[in-house]
Amino acid sequence: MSEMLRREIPLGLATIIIAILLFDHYVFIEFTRGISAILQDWAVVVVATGAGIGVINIVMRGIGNIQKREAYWYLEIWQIVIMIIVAVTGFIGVYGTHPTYEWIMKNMYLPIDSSIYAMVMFDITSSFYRTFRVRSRDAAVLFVCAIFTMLYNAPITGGIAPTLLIPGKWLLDIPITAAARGFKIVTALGIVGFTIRTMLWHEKPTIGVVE
Amino acid sequence: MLIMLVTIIALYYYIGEVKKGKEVSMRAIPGFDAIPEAVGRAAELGRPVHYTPGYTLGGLYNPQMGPGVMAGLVILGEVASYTARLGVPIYVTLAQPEAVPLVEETLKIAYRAENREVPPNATRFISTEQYAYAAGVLSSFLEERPGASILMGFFWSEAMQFAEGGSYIGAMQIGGTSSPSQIPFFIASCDYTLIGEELFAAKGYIDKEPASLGSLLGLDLLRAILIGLTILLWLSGNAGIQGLINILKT
Repeated sequence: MSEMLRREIPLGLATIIIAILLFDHYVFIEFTRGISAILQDWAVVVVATGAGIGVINIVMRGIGNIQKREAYWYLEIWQIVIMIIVAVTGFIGVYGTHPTYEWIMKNMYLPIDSSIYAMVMFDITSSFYRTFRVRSRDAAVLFVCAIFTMLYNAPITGGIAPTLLIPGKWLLDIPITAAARGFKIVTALGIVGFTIRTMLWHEKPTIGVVE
Repeated sequence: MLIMLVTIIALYYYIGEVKKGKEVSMRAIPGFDAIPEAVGRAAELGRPVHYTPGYTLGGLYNPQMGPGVMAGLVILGEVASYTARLGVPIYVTLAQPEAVPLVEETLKIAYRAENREVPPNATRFISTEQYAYAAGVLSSFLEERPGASILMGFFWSEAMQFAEGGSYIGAMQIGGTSSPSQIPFFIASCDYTLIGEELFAAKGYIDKEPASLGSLLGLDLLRAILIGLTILLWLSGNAGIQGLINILKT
């Protein structure tokens, strides 16, 4: 029974659910539409329940690190305390309207979030510095294309030398668009194949069943 | 729907052919071939292996991004079997709390197969918020200095941060994503890169089972049909014949 519970039931459920959702996507029948809507609602509920699993994972890991006095263990205490404060203030009254919660989000969370996003610029610059050292013919082509693309995107180029916009625009409109479309189509095919393999029980690890 | 039906038929046909003994040759995918090398390098350095399947808006439920993360979880099984074999600690950082049980199960099975215990704190849910997740992964790089960082799944702008962060600590990096906008960043910063649907071909490439190889052949056929159809549409469009285009539009 346990073998059946671990293997056949999850795989069977996955097959049925994928088949219903695919059928509903392509064939408009009221009956399957209703079932599909219910299944998608369940998915939302399961994902929301997953947040609880995430909190347990963070707290258990934090407590373990604190007990073992791992590196930066004191930050684990801070993390758990902040998590409790945000959760409690978030749940008081109408969700997310408590003044403390709003203050934390506006004055702590958002500035830190934006700062980390802004750091991407430094990562891109450093990556470009290493990538665009012209050491081969391929790197040279990449370098020339990058120069034209950067010139196209820099606001000053249009004012100084509009002619320099032409190669960059051509690169973006023709070869890059064509390649990106091909990439998207092939990736979509990969997703279709992956879904069908899961439905036919050939991608078992994705549903927690590994033989 | 037609594509879906053709895919199912082609998959069944080619799986049957491979089972009957049809020879299948596959081009090398350096990104997959480098996984043992990356794990071996971490073992030599005495450092852990970092793995992440990336970030999705709305978790695994997202139809555009979820499959990429799921494919990343399939590859995790293979990576974990290497780390278990060599006794290298692995830790998996996640932005999807619902993936925690899947990762725990995958690691447990891989380590049990080698009669080893899963390393403590191997499954680490960081946050569902993109940059909190990014910050968590980057801080783990500085604290644990992994010898290899494997990034396989769906990524947004944090891809650049992970790849550069990994480069900063000298980790060998393998990146793979189904996100078109992040591929250039992985190519620029990672040692090896899997592009788009290579990510979804992982199982066939790694385990070489008839079912997986047959399904890859089926998809190749579909790809050939689509390329042929594209050329046909281009020719008919340029010749002013709109019939086929109109049929496909309906």
